[in-house]
Amino acid sequence: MQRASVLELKKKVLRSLNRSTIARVSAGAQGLVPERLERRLAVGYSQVKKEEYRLELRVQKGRGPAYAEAEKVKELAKGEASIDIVPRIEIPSTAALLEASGKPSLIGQQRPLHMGLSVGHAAGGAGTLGCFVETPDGEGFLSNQHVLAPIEDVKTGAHGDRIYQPGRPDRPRLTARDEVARLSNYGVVDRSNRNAVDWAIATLSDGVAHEGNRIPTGLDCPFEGKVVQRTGGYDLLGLDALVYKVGRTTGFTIGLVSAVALDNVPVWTPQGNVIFDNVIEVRWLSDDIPFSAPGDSGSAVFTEDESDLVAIGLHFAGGRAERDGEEVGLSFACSLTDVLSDCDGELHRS
Amino acid sequence: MTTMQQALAAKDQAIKLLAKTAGIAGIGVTWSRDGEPRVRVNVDESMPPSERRKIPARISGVAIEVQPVGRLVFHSAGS
Repeated sequence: MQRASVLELKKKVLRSLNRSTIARVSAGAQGLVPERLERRLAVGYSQVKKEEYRLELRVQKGRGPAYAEAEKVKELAKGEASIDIVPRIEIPSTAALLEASGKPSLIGQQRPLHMGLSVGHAAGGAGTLGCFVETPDGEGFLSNQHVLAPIEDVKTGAHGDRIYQPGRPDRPRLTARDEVARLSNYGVVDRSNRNAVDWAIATLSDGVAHEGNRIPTGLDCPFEGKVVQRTGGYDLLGLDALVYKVGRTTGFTIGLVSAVALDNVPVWTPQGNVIFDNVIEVRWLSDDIPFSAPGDSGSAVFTEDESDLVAIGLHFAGGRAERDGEEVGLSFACSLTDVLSDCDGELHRS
Repeated sequence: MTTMQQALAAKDQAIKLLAKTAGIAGIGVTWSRDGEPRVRVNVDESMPPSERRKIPARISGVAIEVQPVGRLVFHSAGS
């Protein structure tokens, strides 16, 4: 069926489910998830072919009211629905998530260095090596301040601190052999003021080789081996312009530009919101195909212009939004032009 | 047809207009389906519809699109 039909059917089923659940739960109940497994029914949809969609129904038992309801819905959908029995769904522990996350080729120790690798500060988590730059301090690479000079305590990130590849948690015990650079400059992300950018630069240690801004191989990326040659601004972007990035967690991904020059964007931290201005909003292709995930902070976001690869942003945050009644994933990048202006740097050309 | 410059000017006006409105989660520029620039106002998903309705549909003739968003977080891992 068409997307509009599957969405309408999904809404109809959810409305009916909500009505029956509300009718059943007591006035003092705290949630609307049915307490008994055989009553739980989840509804979604999938794309089976181009412009052909199917309703997806999930029950936890192959009998009982939820299964009977799912069969009724399948009939209503004239067979264009699939019922799966999923006995248990668990949210993995943080430890399990950290263990599972990350592209194997990007979270191990890699020399020469290249775009997309896991990097970090000893006091913080892992982020991504965004791109190589030339600055007055020498040759180095860009990532976010909250990656290379952890934001929880700005004093933690100090000029000259060691930067590691891979970063934590990809290497639980960092050693001197993991050190690749020293923190040489960063823009302070300030909770009491507005911020346009989240950047930090690490200057490469002597003898650490790198591949420049060449898209790494082995990530199913159509641009592998190509070099990101220049930087560009928002004028290169329009609605649904395709943008790309290579990040430590999700590897090579594609997103669609959905807004530019966004001001007043609050990013949550345990210490309170941090406000960003002039950011690029990127919509995910779908929930199953995120543009970014934790660990991708610092990735260079690039687009294609007249067959050149052009870097436009530095990814730093993500979240969710509601569009046309559907939840969508969003990623946010600060302007690379602003970053390079702040740090008096230039994209490394090789 | 709205130009990008007009949309950016309208964005600046929207920032001033909504400066004291609680729950604003971003004001920028987006495009309509046919590619015409317009103002985008992101609002916290918990903002009540009654408050959302106070956001005008147009400002200086430029359309405003409202999008509810959830919590945005930094994307580092394991920190």
